[in-house]
Amino acid sequence: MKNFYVTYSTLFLFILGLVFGFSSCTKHPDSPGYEYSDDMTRSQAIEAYVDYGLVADKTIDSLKTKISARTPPIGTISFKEDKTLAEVHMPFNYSPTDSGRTRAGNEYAIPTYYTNNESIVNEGKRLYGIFCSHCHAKDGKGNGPVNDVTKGVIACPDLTDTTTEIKSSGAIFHVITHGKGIMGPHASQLNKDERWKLVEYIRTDLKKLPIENPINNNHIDAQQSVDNNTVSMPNNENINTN
Amino acid sequence: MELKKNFVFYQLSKKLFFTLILSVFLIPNTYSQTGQELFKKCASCHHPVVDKVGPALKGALQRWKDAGEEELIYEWIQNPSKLYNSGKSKRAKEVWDYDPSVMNAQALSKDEIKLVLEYVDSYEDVAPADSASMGDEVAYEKPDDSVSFWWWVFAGVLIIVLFATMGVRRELNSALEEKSGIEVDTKRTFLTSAHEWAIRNWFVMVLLIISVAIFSGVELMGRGFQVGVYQDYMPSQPIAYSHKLHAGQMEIDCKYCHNSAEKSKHAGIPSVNVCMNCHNQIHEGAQYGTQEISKIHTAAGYDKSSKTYNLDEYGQRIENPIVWNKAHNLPDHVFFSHAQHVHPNTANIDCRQCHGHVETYTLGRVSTIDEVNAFADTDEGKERKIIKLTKPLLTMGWCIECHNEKEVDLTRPGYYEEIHNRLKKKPSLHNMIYEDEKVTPKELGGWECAKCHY
Repeated sequence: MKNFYVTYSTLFLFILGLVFGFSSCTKHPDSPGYEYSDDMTRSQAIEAYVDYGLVADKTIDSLKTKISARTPPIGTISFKEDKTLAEVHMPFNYSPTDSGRTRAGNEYAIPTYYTNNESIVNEGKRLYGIFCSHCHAKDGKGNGPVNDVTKGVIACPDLTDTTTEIKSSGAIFHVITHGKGIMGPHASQLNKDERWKLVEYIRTDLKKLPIENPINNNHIDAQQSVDNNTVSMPNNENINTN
Repeated sequence: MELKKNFVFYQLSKKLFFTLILSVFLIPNTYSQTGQELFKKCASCHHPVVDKVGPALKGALQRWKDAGEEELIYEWIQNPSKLYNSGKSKRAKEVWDYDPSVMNAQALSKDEIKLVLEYVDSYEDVAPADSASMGDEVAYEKPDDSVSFWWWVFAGVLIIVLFATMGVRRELNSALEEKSGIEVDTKRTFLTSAHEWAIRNWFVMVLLIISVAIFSGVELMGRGFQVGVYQDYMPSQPIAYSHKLHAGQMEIDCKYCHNSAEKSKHAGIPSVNVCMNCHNQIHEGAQYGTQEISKIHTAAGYDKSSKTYNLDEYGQRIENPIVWNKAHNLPDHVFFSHAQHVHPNTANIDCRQCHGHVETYTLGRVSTIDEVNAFADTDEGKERKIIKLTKPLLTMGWCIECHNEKEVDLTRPGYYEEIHNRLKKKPSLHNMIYEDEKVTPKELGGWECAKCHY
């Protein structure tokens, strides 16, 4: 008699379990799903974009969700083994003001390393497609898709217009680094090497500026060209560390 | 007759002459550009009706007229600092002291400025420009669990009612039997009668048990294959950000925000200053108004009324970083580098090969392999072609499947060029790899355990 109870209630529970199992077939989007074992799944060390409170199979509430992606500190210089690139990545000592831009336009010029090189222009064009074309448009005329969607709140100048005050590679470099008007500083997204490639593309293909007197920028005395207000300005002169 | 003809001719020529003169006066717009075209020069800082870096320009002329300095506005636009320093304009001082962010001298003639101001004053606000109807809906919905829970409660109640009625029926039956004089087996319960039924219909029972066994086995296996598969994972985020709007409609490249993808192991979650490149101007969205975008401003320490950032003593912005939830997780025992896969000098893979068409959905989400395959072979160009795969995304089977099928272009400078040069020195190896006229990552060591697990 007792056996009956055991057999049938087991069968019943089994079917009930199956039904409940099926109910969870629709996965909640907030749940990442099943995991076989969390052994070697969580890092024992601190890694990027991992919650500091959940490192090494421990939960530390005081560290949880405190630290996340932040703007790189002012004056970050990325390390380069290559001597030429290391020189390129030296600090750019022009303040994010109009006077700074004017001075950069007059004094600062594209290093000879970047001029007269077809592959650099092509690389600059590729970077332009990533970082500029949604606002300035693929042809540089200044009516990219962002202008259309925002109905002119984000409006961009025509980069092929040669009558503007941006007439030299140094000035273009300053605008990319510190921004101008409504354009924000793009220094945290592009390192100096990439910025010069972009400048070379804009200079040759869009603005069609003549080749300037090549200046080796590193011979400019850094102390001479530091503005008094460089430090106190909000925009960041920073480079991705990579 | 002759005289009359002359007279008519004279009249005609006179009319013609005056029309010509008049036409010169009637069409003062003899410049090559209209006001709207000229305004593009101003548009990076000004908007007709929205305060951007510079103030809204509609009614600017009227404001200067009210100050009694209508003529000076032209000088002001041509060179603001000169007019301010000359000290002859009260209005200039007023504006300058209100916001000393300098406007540069503009190379425009007085007539061109007139055209611009005419255009600005005639500007009709088509839609509220600040809240600019930004894209369509931003779906941010989660399935409602409470409904399914109450269905379960309802099912439970039904089962109880079912058993209760069956019990009552049995009691009534036995009562009837007792009344008609049949001896009642008092030990007879529901389970014993069910058991008797099962023995009588043993064939049905065997079929039932076999089908349940097969069914549960298949189900168990299916569940087993879902372990460690993160497809469809879409964690909720602190801000209702829409990839559909930014990457889809505005065509912003993935790498604008995830800009370390080419240089680093991680594609990078953008720091808040990247958001502020546009959201220093855009304060309001179509879907949520200022609710979501003000979260960005709080995180960036940005005060939108004074247009200033919260700075520390060194000029660094004091930020309160947004903690985004990561959707694509790989276990710690796997090494994966975006730089090796994304940079044009390395594998040069389209982002959509692994992440699906992100521009069609809102929050960051692990795509499913079917969604990726739906777009396979459609993209132009052999190099960045999306290939069809079968295994679920972010699993090892999927990794090695792609490493076996994807074609590698050895002509690219850098890493692959070096490999190519070394291969040329070993003709036997070179011939072996090129036997099928296709180089795959597997042939270059992409299936070595220690390539990813170390």
